[in-house]
Order: sequence, then structure tokens, then C-alpha cells
Amino acid sequence: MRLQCLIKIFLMTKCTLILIVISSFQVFSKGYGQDKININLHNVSIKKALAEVEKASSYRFVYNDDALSSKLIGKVDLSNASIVEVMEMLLSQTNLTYKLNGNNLVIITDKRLQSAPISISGVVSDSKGPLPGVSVKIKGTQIGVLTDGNGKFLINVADNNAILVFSSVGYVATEIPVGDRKTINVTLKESATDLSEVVVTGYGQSVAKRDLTGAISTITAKQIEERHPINLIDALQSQASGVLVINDSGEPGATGSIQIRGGSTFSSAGNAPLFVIDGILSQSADNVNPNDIQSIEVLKDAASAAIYGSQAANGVILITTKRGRAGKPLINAQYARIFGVMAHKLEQPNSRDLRIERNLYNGASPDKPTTTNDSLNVVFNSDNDNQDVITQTAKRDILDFGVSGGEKSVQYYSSIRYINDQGLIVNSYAKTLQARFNLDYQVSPRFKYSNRLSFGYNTNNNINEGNTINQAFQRPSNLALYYPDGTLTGYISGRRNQLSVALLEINQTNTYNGDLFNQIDYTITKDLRLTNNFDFGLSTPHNVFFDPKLLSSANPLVNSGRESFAVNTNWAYQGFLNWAKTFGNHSITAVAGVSAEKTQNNSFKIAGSNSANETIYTSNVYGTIDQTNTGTDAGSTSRESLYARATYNYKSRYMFNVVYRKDGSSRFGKDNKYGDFYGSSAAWRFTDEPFMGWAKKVMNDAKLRVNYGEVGNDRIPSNSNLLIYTFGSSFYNAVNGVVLSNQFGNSQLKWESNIQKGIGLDLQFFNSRLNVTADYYKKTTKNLLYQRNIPVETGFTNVYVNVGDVTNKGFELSINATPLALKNFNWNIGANLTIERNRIKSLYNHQPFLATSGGATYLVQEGGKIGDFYGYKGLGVYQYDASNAYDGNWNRLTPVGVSADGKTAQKYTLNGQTYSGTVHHMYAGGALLLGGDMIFDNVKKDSVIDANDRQVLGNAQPSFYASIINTINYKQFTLSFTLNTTWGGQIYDSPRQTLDNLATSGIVADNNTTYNSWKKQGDITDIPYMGRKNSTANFPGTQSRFLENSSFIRLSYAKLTYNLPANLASRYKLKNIGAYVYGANLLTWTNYTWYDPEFSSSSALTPGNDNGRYPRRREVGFGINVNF
Amino acid sequence: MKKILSVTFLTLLITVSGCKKLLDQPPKSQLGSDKFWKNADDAKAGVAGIYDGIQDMFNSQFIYWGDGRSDNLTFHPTYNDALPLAINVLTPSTNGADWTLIYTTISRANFAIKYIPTIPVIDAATSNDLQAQALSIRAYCYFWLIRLWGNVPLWTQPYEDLSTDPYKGVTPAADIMKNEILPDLLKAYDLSDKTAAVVWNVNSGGIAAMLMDVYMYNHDYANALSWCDKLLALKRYSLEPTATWKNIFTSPTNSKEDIWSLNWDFTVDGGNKTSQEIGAGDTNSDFAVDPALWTYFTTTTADIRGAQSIDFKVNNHDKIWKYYAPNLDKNGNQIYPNSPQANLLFPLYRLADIYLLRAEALNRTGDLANALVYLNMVHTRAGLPAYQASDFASADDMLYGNPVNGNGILRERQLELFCEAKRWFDLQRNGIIVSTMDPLIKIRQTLKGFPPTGFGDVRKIYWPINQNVLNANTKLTQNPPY
Repeated sequence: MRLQCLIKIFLMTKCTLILIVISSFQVFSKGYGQDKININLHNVSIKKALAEVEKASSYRFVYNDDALSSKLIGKVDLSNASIVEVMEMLLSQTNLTYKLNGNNLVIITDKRLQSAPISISGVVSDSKGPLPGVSVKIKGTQIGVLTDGNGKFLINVADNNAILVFSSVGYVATEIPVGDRKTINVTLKESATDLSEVVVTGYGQSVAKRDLTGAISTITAKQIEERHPINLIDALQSQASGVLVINDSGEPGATGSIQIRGGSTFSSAGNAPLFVIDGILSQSADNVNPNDIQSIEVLKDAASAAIYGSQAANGVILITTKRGRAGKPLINAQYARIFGVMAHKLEQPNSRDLRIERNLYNGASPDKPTTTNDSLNVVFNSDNDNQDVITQTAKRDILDFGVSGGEKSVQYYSSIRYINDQGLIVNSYAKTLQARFNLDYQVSPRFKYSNRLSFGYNTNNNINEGNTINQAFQRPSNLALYYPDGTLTGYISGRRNQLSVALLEINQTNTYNGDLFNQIDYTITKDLRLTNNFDFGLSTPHNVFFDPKLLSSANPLVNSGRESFAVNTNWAYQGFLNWAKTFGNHSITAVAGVSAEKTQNNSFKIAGSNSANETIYTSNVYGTIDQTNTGTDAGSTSRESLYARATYNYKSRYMFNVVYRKDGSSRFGKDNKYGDFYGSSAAWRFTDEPFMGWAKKVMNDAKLRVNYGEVGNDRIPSNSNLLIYTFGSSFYNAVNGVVLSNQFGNSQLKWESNIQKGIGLDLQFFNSRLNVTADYYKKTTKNLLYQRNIPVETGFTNVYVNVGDVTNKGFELSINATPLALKNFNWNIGANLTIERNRIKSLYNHQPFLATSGGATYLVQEGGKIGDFYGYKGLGVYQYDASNAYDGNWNRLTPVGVSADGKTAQKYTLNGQTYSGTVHHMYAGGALLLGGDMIFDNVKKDSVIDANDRQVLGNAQPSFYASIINTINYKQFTLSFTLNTTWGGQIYDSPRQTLDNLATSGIVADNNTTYNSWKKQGDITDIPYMGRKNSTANFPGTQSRFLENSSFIRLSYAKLTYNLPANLASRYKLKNIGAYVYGANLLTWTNYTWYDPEFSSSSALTPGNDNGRYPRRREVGFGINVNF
Repeated sequence: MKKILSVTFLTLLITVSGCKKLLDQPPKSQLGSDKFWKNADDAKAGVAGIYDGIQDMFNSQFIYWGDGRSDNLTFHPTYNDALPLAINVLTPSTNGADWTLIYTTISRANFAIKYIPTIPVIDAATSNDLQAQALSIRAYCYFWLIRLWGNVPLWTQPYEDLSTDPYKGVTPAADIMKNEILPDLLKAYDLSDKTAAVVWNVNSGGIAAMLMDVYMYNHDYANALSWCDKLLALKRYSLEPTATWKNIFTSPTNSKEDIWSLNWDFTVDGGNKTSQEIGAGDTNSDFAVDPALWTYFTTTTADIRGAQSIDFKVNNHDKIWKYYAPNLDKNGNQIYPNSPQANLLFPLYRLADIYLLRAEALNRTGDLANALVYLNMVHTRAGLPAYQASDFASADDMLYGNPVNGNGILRERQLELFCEAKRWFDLQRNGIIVSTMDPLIKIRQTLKGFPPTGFGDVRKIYWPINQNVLNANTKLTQNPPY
């Protein structure tokens, strides 16, 4: 309820905003300009004369009655005169003077009362230093000056009431009342949406933001700094419309997922975008330190993304890392410590709840005094808070250090970051080291060399959620965690000890990764530049897994382990020519180039058991090698491409952009290796048209964009085009058998293509104080690549095919406003709203199919949506045995006068009328349903609840997602906080289903089930009787009982920073010193009952299944930042 | 400008010319199909793959298909997995309804049958024997299919090109029998190396045993007996002595009784998941021994097979320890391996089975005296006194028992071949599924508190087709009445 209220307020605010905009238009459209005035007056009072002028023109007068003497004027006869001429003439014989205000307002004052002008001086600067060329104006007048090279200004104002307006392109215009000061020093804030800002579009090209033709969202280093990002997910979440960023922030080292403009494909690699890090195409940006990012561009539309061709179907994220600036070395050091607590602790049955539950499970009365286990045995008589013992306060230490600087010809930027993250579950951790070195070297005026060198090291202990946090609920709380002598217990009653698992299971991954990128730019002529670059990347994950004997369920106990190692390499070459030319008002740019890339993966793994020692985890300690899990794997993929783009710009009024790319990929059959991708977009700045002049004062800038393009997707496993023999798991009688893969090879495989049309509007109002961007798009995925079933009688079970269409339509709105921009107080709001609608248009043979994940089943069918949950709809529980009664059309009858044992009814009624026909009964799992059994919606209208009675129960996709980011500066304080919401989707609560479906004897149901389930004839509830354990009838599969609403509103990030004033800092030879407090996931409003409604899904077809994820943290921390 | 063009052209040239090679990335840890079936090792590895297919298809379904629906086993006292079988309410999602892995094996055999003859360098005897194994296994798979589902799709060529229609309807079971199973087996016997006698492979003995089994199913007793004669003429097999009866199951290479046993080595291929159905250390079984059989075995202590087939110490009656060598803890309780470490070496054909089939054939052809001889060989080996001719009033009495199922050939088969996937087909072959199971199912239903509706529709002798299998092939329709 509270949630809905907030939404309403949110919507209302938006409406109000729109109203304000409309009414402003009306006010200002009412005439403006240089009226020519005709008056002919003789011997009237000045007041009368002014009234006449008002009638004859659009000018209005403001004056003090006392100031205007009743003196008459002589003869005034003017035709076609300007206001200046009129006023000069009228006031020539008085002591009055006038001032022309911007809004055709003429202010008349007494010369004698006017005070002497006040001279105000000061320095205007931004966070980096003095700003030259800033306009300083007196509000309401045309009087103004510009700051000099040192940011200094000097201006005379009439009185203390004057207000100075400081403005400069790229900065938020700031108004400061003069008051009684003589010196005013101002620090301007960079504007969040700066139209002069340059947007990177790829392959050495960039465009001024005001000239963009596509739908590109930009996130700047500054926006990133206002978070405290650990990874790209933190940096990007809620920053742009059309970009759904899901943060899996609970688990150490976990990231999350990014989906641009909805899910558009079925392929197992999911809907992740392509990352382009400093020009290099990459499938992940996990190793990028967000502090190193200068800007992130999200290419949402196909016309912008088409230059990246075959990999761009899910959008492209361009990441540009920071470069050094010429000047003194800038040293930056930062330290933060962040504490995390479990944001949502779940209720858990204690040993009393458990005894009741066990009695009910065994069909006994709830308060039967005995337990099923030996009351004298110590291991059965504890009462543990299983969740509590394996969780702790999470701690995160983040240390950053960086040096950047350079001279005219060499600039460098280097950074190093260390993160030590101790998770909520004991013994879960991730330690990360990231280092970067960026060098730009201007060898000669024509020749530039750059390199980007990055290195990362990562070690983490991947805690198994299933055997720890989920086990905490599944394991009865009466089972001891420790023996009386203090040693940990292992399996008791078939349930593992989650504390032993957390403490003793080793699952450690160490990864080294490095990337070396070199680029040579050669300027051939003034307009033509040749770029060649080469990138080499390496990643070597090494995993060690070990379970000591204590964690074994075998008899006798046995320890086991495995070790795996991989070497993944990739190289990429790009060569392209950039050309740019301006002819008068026409400017043209073009780029054309080639690229080639290859990735190669080699891995091996060894598994074994009977380790001679439990403190050494290498494979040489194994007594027995497990050959089924020992082996190597290798594979490679490659691509080659040709691409070109041209843009044309006329006065920034008309802009066009065309793109073409040809891609070849090793993943496809030999006749289908190449694919063509293209795009085109155009933009029209209609505010620059003469007929829009009237709007200019309010709407500074408005641009209409249209785009159309085709991009591709090639993310299928390599060799899906071949019939393949596999090795190593088909031994027979000591012969190493060779068998065909059960995936059939489709030699006809080709690209999946994605056609996107879009229209967008960029609007700026009130000197860029209010910016609105709206986009509408339609995306159609054709030749959908997916693994479809093939008749199993062929000997194969599936094959990748190119069949089917999916469409996505969406609306995106971004608003950025600066409601307040005062000397000491600046308030910026950024808001995003995204609405996406997805529909599956066609499938192979029109054939629907099912997808499953955890307890959730999904139906993929034509006309449906991705993420449609499919299963049994619960309608409650039979109140009595006699309640299982139906008429011939399978309408449920109401029993009347039910006997004490619930078995018989005196009569039945249907819609209040006595029913006299044959009474039919419902069966499930071969059994007659009785009181306490589930009533499922009988879709097929027959006597049995079976697979035919399944239906679509809901959908995982949200109906919209939105966010509001507030940034408030007050003097040296900056407060930034982000509220975000995802609304209207559903989640399948699989961990709760595991507890409640009574499928495994040792698992304890949750308290809601224990206390609210059907217990005796006549009980009215929607939770079935536990004692019968009729799993086929009551738990036939995915059912509506475990489907929950995933809507939430979250205060996801907040950061309050205090920076010491520059003059104070410089006293300590520091450029800047600041301290901050930080919070993440501070408040969440949701009705979801398991840990958290926000989590990513590994598969494109099965979103919204909660597998019992790592619990989310509520984080609070502090940090300090020093620059010198 | 010329320089620019040449630089650009050169760059393009280098990339484009490198392309052909660059875009060709063949699999590195797998093999493209055009590179296999090139030599004798490939042929052996390919045929090992077919056996691996049999391992997979029996891995968790052996018991479901062979004993699960019969009067040998019933539902577990605590778990419901076996309930649909025990009370005959199979559904398209019941474990066992999925024939995918049988057809995977058939496909592997189809590839071998097509490609082994094309291998250039291989000696003819090896090639022929490998073809014989592939042919006989294909026939064996179809024999299982028609007995479990009736009419099924028939594939005798490998599926190699997506432009070939993958959708095929069913072929009548009788046609499959006539045109596929029998010709394949006969050809296989001709091709087989008569000197090969590895118990893990289908050798000439195994093929003869299969032929006998198939002819028995067809009630063609003359041919059945003739193939039995050919089998016995190989002079390889003899009954395992009473004292070492368990060797048949735990050490087939040391027993002269086994004709074809399934090899299993968990260290290279993982455990046999059938253990999860009938006795693994890490989980409860799906099934329990039927009470009547439990009572017979626990009370007839003279019959040495009971105590060696079933773990009498387990209260749930759910541990079948036939396939496990004794491995007792200090209290004398069997320690069962965890399912990932379980080797279950199913005898698919063994001499006792053949002798009893022979007894059945002789009985049906009127040679009661000799039928009794073969029945008694197995009966007395179990430690029981020989039956006398006077124990059976008629040929039917000798076959079905008097009282029904109290003794006789089928009863002997039930006791001897318990959990060897024979009982259901014995009932089927002799047309006594409904008469045997109907009263039993009624008892089970009453026990569970369900209305005693019995076996139900007689067409339920066949299994339903798994829903996913049906979904994948639009030309299939569900077996009625499911």
C-alpha cells in the first residue's frame, strides 16, 4: 500500500512538471520583441502617458507612485519609435530614470534616490581551478561581464538587492544575491547534462552531445564518483533509462547483470550487452575499476550500435578510461571501510516450532509430547539459530591510489585498487587487486602512441549458498552444530551441518588477468588519421575445491576434491581511417576500417578423493582420481570484420549518420559465416528553425531524432554448426568410447538479426536547468538463435536453429533538472523511467516449449512473453473430505450438513440451489483428493489434476523500472542518493517451495506452513495438510502458491561527502581532502518474503527464479579521499 | 594520397587473406564427424560408445522397466517415487516413460553399422564382429522398445543432415519384429566371431540368447529351442554352483553362467544410478520388496537366493543387495556404496534364464518331462528339493504354478531372476499381467486409502510416452488410454 502511494506521488510530481513547462510556453508566447511605438500626446500627466504607451505596445511599466510627480509633459509626437526613444523623450524633463528589463518590463525610478553603484569582484572557479570566460550578469538586466584568464571579474551593481548570475557552457548556471559583500568567489558545478560534452561513438569518433542522432546515454566520471562503486554494476545502476541493471551485491565478488532495452534473445549467453573498453570489444567489464572510468556511453539504438555489428544486438557499452592531464602530478589516495549487515533476516522455526512441525508431518496431533528422535541424545536436543551462526557483519576495505599527470607530449594515468571483502556468510570473501597504466605519447605532431595496460588479481572463496544459507532453513534447529567436546558435527539425520560447510569447505578461485593494448595514430593530412591498434588479453582462473571427511555423507566418510586451471587468451587487431572535413556550414566525418580477433580457451581439471591429508589441497594428495571429472577442454572462436560510418552535419540543425559493418564468425556454417549490418539515423534541431524563435527563451534546445538499424547476435556455443564426437565419459570395459554429442550440428546456422526502429526527443529548458529526453523504440529479433528440441528418435535431443521472432517495444524517459542553483546550495535531480513490453511472435513449427530453473517452469509460446511462469493455479484447500464434489461440468459443489468425520454431506448445493445430479470427484496422482488436499484450477475440465491443467500464472518481467538520483551541494557538503524501483514482475520462491513441499523427510517446513496448514476436517486455509504427504496431488510442480510479487522501491545508494575548502587544504599542501559516509541498500519496501527481490538470472529464458541467493547486505561505511 | 591508399590496401589485404584460415576454428577437444571412423581403433571406440549407451539407458530405468511394475516390487513405505508404478497410474512424466536414451543407443549403432564397413584399414574378422555387436544391440534396443511401448518409430539409418525430415511416426511392432529385430540378429550371428567370448560384449552366445528370447516373445517355440541348442552347442556355459551363486552378479568374469553382463566401472564412468532405486548408501530406495515375496524369502530359508538377494535387516525392505558383494560393518550390517561409487553388473542374459526359458518352451510344446529337468536344474541349485512330475497336474500348472504362482516355471523365474528386468516381460509374454497385477494393485490402493480400482484399462500394459518426447516429435501421438 505504502508503495503504491509513493508511486502516485511520483507520477503526480511528473505531471506537475509537465504542466509547468506547458504554462511557461503560454506566458512567453504572448508577444515579445522590438515593438515600434506610435504615440501622440499633449499635456497629459506622465502616468497617463505611460498608460498610453502600455496600450500601444507590449511594454509594461513598474514605478513607485510617489516617484512620479503629477507633472504634465509637453507635446510628444513620435511614430515608429523604439522604447528607448520614447522613454528618453518622456523622462527628459524629470528626475526619473528607467531600466529596461528582459521581459519587456520598464522600471522607472527616481534618479535622486538611486544609491551609488557597488563594485563587486571575485573569482569564478570549478572543482579544478579558475574558470575563464564565465558570463557574470546582473539578474534582470543585460548588464554583464566575462571572467578573465584567471577567472576574475569586476562588476558594478546598483544595490544590495542585485542578484548575480554566473553561467558558462557545461556548468550549472548559479545565482547569487549580492547582499552586503564586495567579494564573491564562486565555484561552479559541472552540469550533469552538458550539451557541449563529447560523446564517444566508437572507432576514434566522437560527437558533441548536442549533435547526437542516436539514443545514447552517457554516464560521467562525476556521476560515478557520487556512488561508491565496487564494480561497473554499482556505477551504472539507475543511471540511464532503458538499461536494467541488476545488482547481486550480497556475495563477495559478485556483480550482476545489465540488460539494454529488454530481453530480445533466447540464447544461453543471455542478453548481456557488448562492452567496448577503450576500443576493445569484450564480453565483460568485471575487471575495470570504476574509478578509472572517464565516461560510459550506452549505445541503446541499433543505428548507433550497428558499427559493432554482430555482437551488438543487446546494445553496446563503451567505456573510456581516464587519461593523464598535462601539469603537475596529481596524486590521489582514498580509503573506505564499509560494514554490511543482513538486510532481511528470515524467520526460522525454533525447536518448539520444529516439534510441532514434525508431529504434523507425521500426521500426529501438533502437541504430541514426544519427538521422533532420541530425547537423551545430545545431537538431537539443541535449539540453534541456524541463520545466525553462519552469518557475520560483512566488512569491505577499499584502498585506492593513483598518480596522473604529464607534459605536453606525454601524459600518464596510473591507478591501483585493493578491495578486501568479507561477506555476510562466514568464511566467504573476495580480495581484488586492480592496476592500470594509461600512457599517451605524442611522438611527433603527426604520430601518437598510446597504450593501456591493466592487470588484475582476484581470490575468492565461493560459498555454496545451497549448502550453507539454504541449508540453515532446511536443517532442523534441534540438530547440534557442535558435539559436547566442541568439535563440529557433520551429517545428522541426513542433513548437513551448514556451519561445518561454511567453515571447512574450500572453494577458492584465484584469477590473474592482464590486458595489453597498443595504439598508433598517424595523422596523414589535417583531415585524415590512420589508427592501428593491437590488444592482447590473458586470464588464468585456478580453482581448488575440497570437502574434508566431516562434510561427507558416505559410509565410511571420505574426503574429496578437485582442481581446475584454465588459460584463456584473446587477441584483436583493428585498423581504421578517420576523415573529417568542414565546408562552411557543412561538416562531414567518416571512418572505415577492418578488424580481426580470436579467443582461445584451454582448461584442465582433476578430481579425486581419499586425500592423504586434509590441509593440502593439490591433486597429488588424492588417493583415487575420479576420471569422470578429470580431463581437459579446449576451443577457439574468431571473427573478422569490415566497417564504415559517415556523418553529415549542417549547422547542428540537420544531422545524418549511416553505418555499415560486415562480420565474419567462425561459429557459423561455412556458407553463412558473413553477415551484413547497417544503420542510419537523423536528427533535426527544430529550435534552430526561424519559426521556433518564440520558444527560444524557455526551450533553449530541442531535437528530434529518428533511427533505424540492424544488428546481430552470434552468442551460441562454438561448433554448434558441426556434428561432433566427444570423448572421455563413455568408457566401456576399459575401452575409451567415442560418442556423438546429443546436440545435432546445424551447418545452416547463421546470425540472429535484430531490427530496431526508434524515435526520440531531446529537450532543454530554462538555460539547461531542465533537460528531458524521451525515446520510443520497437525492436524485432528475427532468425532467433535457440536450441530447439529435435525428435529424440534421431538419436539427438536438440539443435541450434535460426527460427522465430521476438519483439520488444519500449518507452524511455530521462529528466535532469537543477531546481536550485545558488551560491552555497545546488540541487540536481536525475530521473529515469523505462517501460518495456516483450512478445514472442513466432517459434519453430509454432511449437511451444518449456524452460525450467529451480522450482520454476516457464512456457515459451507464440503470443506469450519471455518469463511466463507455467504451472498449477491453487484455489485453496478442500475443507472437508466431502468438499471434493463436482457436477458434470466440473463446477465445485458446496457440501451442506457435513458429518463429523468430514466424509459425507447431507446434500450438495450449486450456486445456492440444491444439486441433485451425480456427484463427481477429483483425483490426482492416482488418488481421490480429500480434505486438506490442494484444489487446483481444473483447466482441462476432467476428473484428474495433471499436466494438462497447467496454465500461465504470471510473468517475471517488470511492468516498469524507474529511478531518481538526487545530488545536493551545500557549501562543502555533497549529498547524493539514489532511489530506484522495479515494479510489477513476479518471482518464483524456490527456496520456500523446497521447505514447504515436504518432498524430503528431513527438511522442515516454515512456520507459516506449520501453523496455518489444514489440520482437521473443517479447517479453511490455502496450505494443504502436511500429514498425508501426497506430494503428487499437492505439489505437482510449479504452482501459484510460491509465486510472489517482485516489486520493490529501494534507497539503493547514498553518499555524503565533505571536502575541506580549497584554501584550507592548500595550507596542508593538499589539493583536496574530503571525507564521506556511504550507505547502500539502506531501505527497501517490498512484499517479497525471501531475502531480496533483486537478483540476476543466468539464463535468458528463465528470469525471476530465486534459487536461494546469497542474502543482500545493508551497507554503511566511511571513507577519506586525499588529492595532492 | 597514394601512400595512404597503399597502406590501407595493404592492411585490408593482410586481414582479408588471413581470413579464410582465421574463420576456420575446428573443435579442439572434440572431433568433427568427418574425421571419425577412419581405422580399427575408431571402430572399437565407436562400439564401446554403443555399450555406453546401454549403460545410460539402464542407468536409472532398468528397475522401472523390468521389475518396478511387477509383483516383485511395491511402493516405498515413506516415498512416493514408485507409487505410480505400484498402483498403475503412470503419467507422461513418470520416470521410465522416456525412451530417449534407447534411441541414442540405436543412433550410435546406426552410425557404426553404416560406417564400420567403410573403414579402409581393419581386418575383416574384427570389422564383422564389431558390426555384429552393433546390429545385435540395435535389435536388442528395439526389442525393449516394442515390449514397453508397442508401436514405435523405426530408424535404421543414422540421422546426419537437418534437411532430412526428423519427424517420423510409429511403425507397427510386428513389422519392427519382422523387418528389423529378427533380420538384424540373424545377420549379427552370421557376422559374429564365434571364438569371441568376452562376457561384457554381445558375443555369439549373447546373440543366440537374444534370438531365443525374441522367439519366445513371438511364441515361436521351435525356433526358440533351436537357438537354445545353438547356444548350448557353444559349450561355454554352465550353472554357477550353489555356494558361489552370488558370483553371477558380483564377478561375471569368474562365472561360467553369465552370457552377457553389463560392465560398469564407476571410477571412469560414474556410479550406476540404479543403486538409488534399490540400495545405495547415500539415499533411500524408490521401491520396496513386495510383501508376498518378502514373506516367501524370509520364511523359506532353504532357498539360498532370498538372503543373497534382499537385505533382511533393513526395516523398510528397500535394500536389494543382490548386486553387492558382502561388505559388513562391525554389527554385521551391509555397507552400501554411495550411488556415485556403485557398480551394478547386471546379467542381461545368463544360463539360468536360458534354462528356464527352455523349460517354458518345452512345456508349451508338450515335452513336460524335459521341461521339468531344466526347471529342476535351477530349482535345486537354489538349495531346494527337486520338483516331481506329480507336483504339477498339467502343463499350465507347471508353467503358472499350482496354486497360481506358488511354484512352477514362472515362479522359479521370479525367484531366480528377481530384479534382473525379467519378471514384467514374463508376465507380458504369457499374457498374465492383468490377472496377476489387478488383485495386487487393489490391495495396494486399499492400503493407501485410495479407491480400489485395480489395474484399469488393459492398454496400460504399455507405457505412456514421455511428454517431452511427444512434444519434440509432432508425428507421435500418446499411447491410449494415457
